[in-house]
Amino acid sequence: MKMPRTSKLERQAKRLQERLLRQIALGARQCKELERRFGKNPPPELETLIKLHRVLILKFSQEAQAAPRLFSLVKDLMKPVMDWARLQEQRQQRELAEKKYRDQVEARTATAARGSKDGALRPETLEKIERELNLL
Amino acid sequence: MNPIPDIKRFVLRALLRLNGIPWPDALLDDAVRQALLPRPLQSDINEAKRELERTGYIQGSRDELDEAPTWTLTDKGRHKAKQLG
Repeated sequence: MKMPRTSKLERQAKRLQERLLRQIALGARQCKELERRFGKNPPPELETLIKLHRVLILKFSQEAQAAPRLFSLVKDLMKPVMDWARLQEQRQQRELAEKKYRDQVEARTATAARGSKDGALRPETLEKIERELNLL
Repeated sequence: MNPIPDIKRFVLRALLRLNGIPWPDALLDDAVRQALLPRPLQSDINEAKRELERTGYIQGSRDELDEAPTWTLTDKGRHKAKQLG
């Protein structure tokens, strides 16, 4: 049995549909990429921006003619936000490292004070040991 | 010709490509109108969504930001969408 020939309109519709699906997939990948970089629990101040970004990307992914340019535009708009988020993360890591160091110094001071009372390790000896262990 | 099966197929395929990202209802309608020729009526689009939800292929939710309805695939819907490609 012969299959009916697909009309030009049907072929055009199919091409359009496949193109739209590809753009939707591209938009989704871009959303996922941004949201992956911010992690599962982004700072509250960024949550709204991330959601707006998602809506924009999904909207543009359906604008068949303009999508590539608009994707780039949205990506560029988010760059300062990404930079800010990266700086925030670095600041938090630095603060954590500083706190850790302060805690270690306090612990060492307390240990040294106890040591000098009951004749255990002297502070100079403790420092020497720590230098050798590269803890300072 | 009944456009509803075509609409349903497109919605499932598009949601699969969204990979779990909730699809705002208004954008879904917009995409369906662009994807099919002749352009389907809103009533047909609504009917297709209702059928997909009733038969357990998609599930609706509300966006946290603006309370707008959104759609995602259920496991059954994902399985079906993968068959459609």
